[in-house]
Amino acid sequence: MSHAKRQRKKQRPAAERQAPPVQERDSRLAPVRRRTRLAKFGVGLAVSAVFGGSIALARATYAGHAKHPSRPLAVPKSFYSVIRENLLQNGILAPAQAPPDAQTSSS
Amino acid sequence: MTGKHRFCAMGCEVIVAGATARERLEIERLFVARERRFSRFIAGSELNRINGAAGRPLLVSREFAEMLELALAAASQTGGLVDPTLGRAVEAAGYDQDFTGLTDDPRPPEPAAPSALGSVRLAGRVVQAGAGIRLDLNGVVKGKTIDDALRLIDGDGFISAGGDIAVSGGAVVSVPGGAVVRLVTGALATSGQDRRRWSRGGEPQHHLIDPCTGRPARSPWQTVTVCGATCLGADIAAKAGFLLAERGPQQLEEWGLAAQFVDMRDDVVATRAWRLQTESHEAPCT
Repeated sequence: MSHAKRQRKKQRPAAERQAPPVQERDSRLAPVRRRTRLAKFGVGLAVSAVFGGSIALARATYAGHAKHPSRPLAVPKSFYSVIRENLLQNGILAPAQAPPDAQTSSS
Repeated sequence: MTGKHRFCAMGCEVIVAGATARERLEIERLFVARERRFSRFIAGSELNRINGAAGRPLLVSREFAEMLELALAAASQTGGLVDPTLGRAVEAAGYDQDFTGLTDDPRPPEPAAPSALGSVRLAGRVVQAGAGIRLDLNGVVKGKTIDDALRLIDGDGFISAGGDIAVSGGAVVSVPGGAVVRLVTGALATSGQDRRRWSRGGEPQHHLIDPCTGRPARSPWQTVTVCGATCLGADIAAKAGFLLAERGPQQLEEWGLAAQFVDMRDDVVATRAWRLQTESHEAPCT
């Protein structure tokens, strides 16, 4: 053992005598550690949420290839009423080349 | 096309062509069910329940709501000419029972009952009609039922009811005025005052009511025949053409419809679309 090491060994009990007792120190540190753990957990959670949200947003809005089966373009429901109201559309007639199958008359 | 099947429903003869036995049965059931729901002459019909509601809002069947929506759309499309609120006016003119039982009556007609279109409200399946209003959806129901019945036929065929006809795969049809045309696709409907007519107090009456006066319309036309994409549309346009009197041909021309008007002297007026489609354009032989 070197001289310096012997010296530090002699000094350590003195330093330990000056430090507060272990139990007292632990009781002061415990709440701090708990808050630290909570903060770490909170920050981790927030980072994960932001990361997940960003990924989801990017996937949903990225103008690349479709990430889900594509659906055919559909007419908005509100247009259906307009189309349904357009009742007056033409059929198709042609000159007759055979005797009649039926007749139309006043109903 | 297989044989024709005939039955009576909605106060007229229905002819079904091109349907299998199962399809014929389904079509007949459809007509009977619609008649039970929408007839003015069946006491327990849903229509009569609503007509008796005296202005109270009522929850109606989905089918009734859809039919009323179509009737209101028809009124909107024709500027109020084809109006579902003229039930009281038809009754006032004397058409208060099935047509087969209708006879001439020396009593004068009851006071006129003009349109009350603005007092009918439809929100989803809730209907509210003003007190005293009697709905008559007969024309719309018959046209729509013919269209729906045609969809029940898998192959080519046609449905004819009371003179209105819808085809799938084409049919040759004789029309008032003596012409014969080939209906390639869609439907032909005829409205007029030559058949459903009777008299009250010595005055001739018919079932096509002028919504402004609440009386049977005075029209120079004996019949108006229209070709439409659907029987419902053709029937609505034919009624509108009749009610517009002298302006009928011009209006149907503007709508771009193929239509033919026959007046009281049996003279025929046709729209451009009718003439173009029905006249032969064969090249002369050289």
